[in-house]
Amino acid sequence: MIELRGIIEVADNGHTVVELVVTENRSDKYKRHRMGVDIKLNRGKIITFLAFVYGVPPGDIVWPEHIELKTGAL
Amino acid sequence: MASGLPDYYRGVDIAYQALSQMIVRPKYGTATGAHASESAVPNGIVSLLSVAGKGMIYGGTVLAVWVSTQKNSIVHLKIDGSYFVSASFNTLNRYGMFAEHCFHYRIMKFDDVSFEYAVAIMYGITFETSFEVLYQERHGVAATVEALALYALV
Repeated sequence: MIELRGIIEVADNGHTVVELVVTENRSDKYKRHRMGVDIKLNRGKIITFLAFVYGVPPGDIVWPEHIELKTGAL
Repeated sequence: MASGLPDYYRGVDIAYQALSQMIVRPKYGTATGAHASESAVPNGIVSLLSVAGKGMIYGGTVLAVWVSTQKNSIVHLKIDGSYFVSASFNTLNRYGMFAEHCFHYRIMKFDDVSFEYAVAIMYGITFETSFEVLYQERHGVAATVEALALYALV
């Protein structure tokens, strides 16, 4: 089960770096993936990215209810 | 077994099970950090870092170093979409807000000669959906600002 646990956006000299925090199987093991720089985020992009990274169908990516995108574009 | 029932029929009961102590702590995920470096927008607000998720802030700092004063500029903390009450470097310094937990951040350095300013974000602030650190520039210059946050996501 691949579950998104957090989205981190950090300003870096005029650019915005996006990283995702993900758990794989156990709730206490976290992995951090750099998704890219200056990405306009939406839910589909994140799910597609994680599905590609883990080689699973997009439907297998779990998006917890409490995670909201800053733009509100879910 | 005084009652004749196996242990697994009972909940945890310190007195019954004669445990000397029980340690309970909130479960958080792995501690992680984020570092940001950005030029402030003159007379505007810039987002230094933002985290979407649920967890707790362990601490952090925001540093502003420039060639002219930044004393009236403000660090903002936005938790779960709401801004906390904020104060400028000057206000924090003027009222001596150096102590732990006197505010959601405290002033660590206020040097209006070398133009170096720093605040520390308090330990223990929890967030349910997101937190964001922002910087409001109030002197009309593009000062360089750095931010660091340590936190855990559940």
